[in-house]
Amino acid sequence: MVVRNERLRMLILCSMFAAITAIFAQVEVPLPIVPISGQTLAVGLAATILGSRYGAISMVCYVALGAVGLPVFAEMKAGFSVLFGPTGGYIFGFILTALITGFILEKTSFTLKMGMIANTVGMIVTLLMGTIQLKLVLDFSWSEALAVGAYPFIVVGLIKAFLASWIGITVRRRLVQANMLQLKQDIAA
Amino acid sequence: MMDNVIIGQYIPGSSTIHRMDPRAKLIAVFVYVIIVFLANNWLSYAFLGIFTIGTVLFSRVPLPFILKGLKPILWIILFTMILHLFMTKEGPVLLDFGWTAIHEGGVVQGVFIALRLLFLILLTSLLTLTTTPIDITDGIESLLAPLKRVKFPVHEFALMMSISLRFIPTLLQETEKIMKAQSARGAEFSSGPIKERVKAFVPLLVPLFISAFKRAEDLALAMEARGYRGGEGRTKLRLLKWKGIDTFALIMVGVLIIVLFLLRS
Repeated sequence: MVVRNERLRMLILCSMFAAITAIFAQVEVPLPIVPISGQTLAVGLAATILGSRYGAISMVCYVALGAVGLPVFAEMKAGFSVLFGPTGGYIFGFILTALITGFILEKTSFTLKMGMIANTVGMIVTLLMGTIQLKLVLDFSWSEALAVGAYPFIVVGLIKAFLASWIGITVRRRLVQANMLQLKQDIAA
Repeated sequence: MMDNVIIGQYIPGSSTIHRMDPRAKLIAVFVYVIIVFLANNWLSYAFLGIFTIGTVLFSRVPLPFILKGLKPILWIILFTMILHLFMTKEGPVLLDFGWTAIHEGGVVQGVFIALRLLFLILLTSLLTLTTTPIDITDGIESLLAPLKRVKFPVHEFALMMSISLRFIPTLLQETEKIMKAQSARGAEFSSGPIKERVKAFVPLLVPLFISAFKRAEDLALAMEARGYRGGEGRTKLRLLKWKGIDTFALIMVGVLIIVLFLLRS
């Protein structure tokens, strides 16, 4: 596979991941008690498969798509009203989450163990960003905001982090096997 | 979902707000999101309310569409109001339950936050209700253009959004196709032990991602074959036009800022 314009190829790939995130956001994995929305799963997958830089770029694209009014957020929501509303922080948080999750993986190794650590840190980043905006928009105190916006989601978040790292690392390995993904780390490995 | 994805939340219309330049609308909404936090007493909230509701009426978007946008936020507004009602302990006691009491400050605070949220949602949803996604994308690209100087790839950014938009329906179809193909091979997505169900998603996701990678490859090749080499020197099919009404709208927002500063205590 001769790669001529890596930049254009990655740019299109990021758009694809933004599109995939939009689709995932509408899907719920039917589990008892805690249905897993695909949105956060897709964020973890984008970071795990594309890495820090491109994962974050694809999330910026996803947020921008929602901002212009396309129903790409969970439950077909969209628009500035969601982004600047009380729960918008979680969505803005995806960008930072992808950046940090991917960064940890790139600095260590793309293994299941590191994937779980990186995705758990990513989950904490999403929850923190979400809680900060929740506090600002709704004028909560820190303890109120944390009780409403972070604590109830920690257990679910851990499950999602596990799933994202497990599926992400598996998919990544298959992609490398299929010669679809050629990044420095894989050539070395 | 497919129809929705293409047109977004846009409601066709011919009001002045519909015909405004998307750049003016974007600037106005961004400023509004910041200044909505300036209001802090009854007078400033009343003024903000008149401005917001006036704008909504002026857009002539049918009321059901506006209410639809408010519905998901209703519970959050109610919840926040109740929380502030009990948590804010300022001013004289209005109601005393023994174990807790409602203070006047709590009522005021609760109503103010609810109003702020309501106004915020009303005006920001108006942007996407009166502007097509393509217009907003063009507007954002044009507003971000000065960032080209600091090497921010504005053109590429707008291109990425168009590509995603184009591929959402395609990838959605692809997902459905793969799901059916794997079901035919005996995969279970909705029943069985949790571990098996989660495992069933791997053979769904791998082909989906491989297909996305292949499509990216094909598209990159096709674009290069047609001579694509970035935004430099590209011309546009749709040109944005700044009109008198756009300047007027921004002046109105300026007036709103000044009045809010004068009214706030």
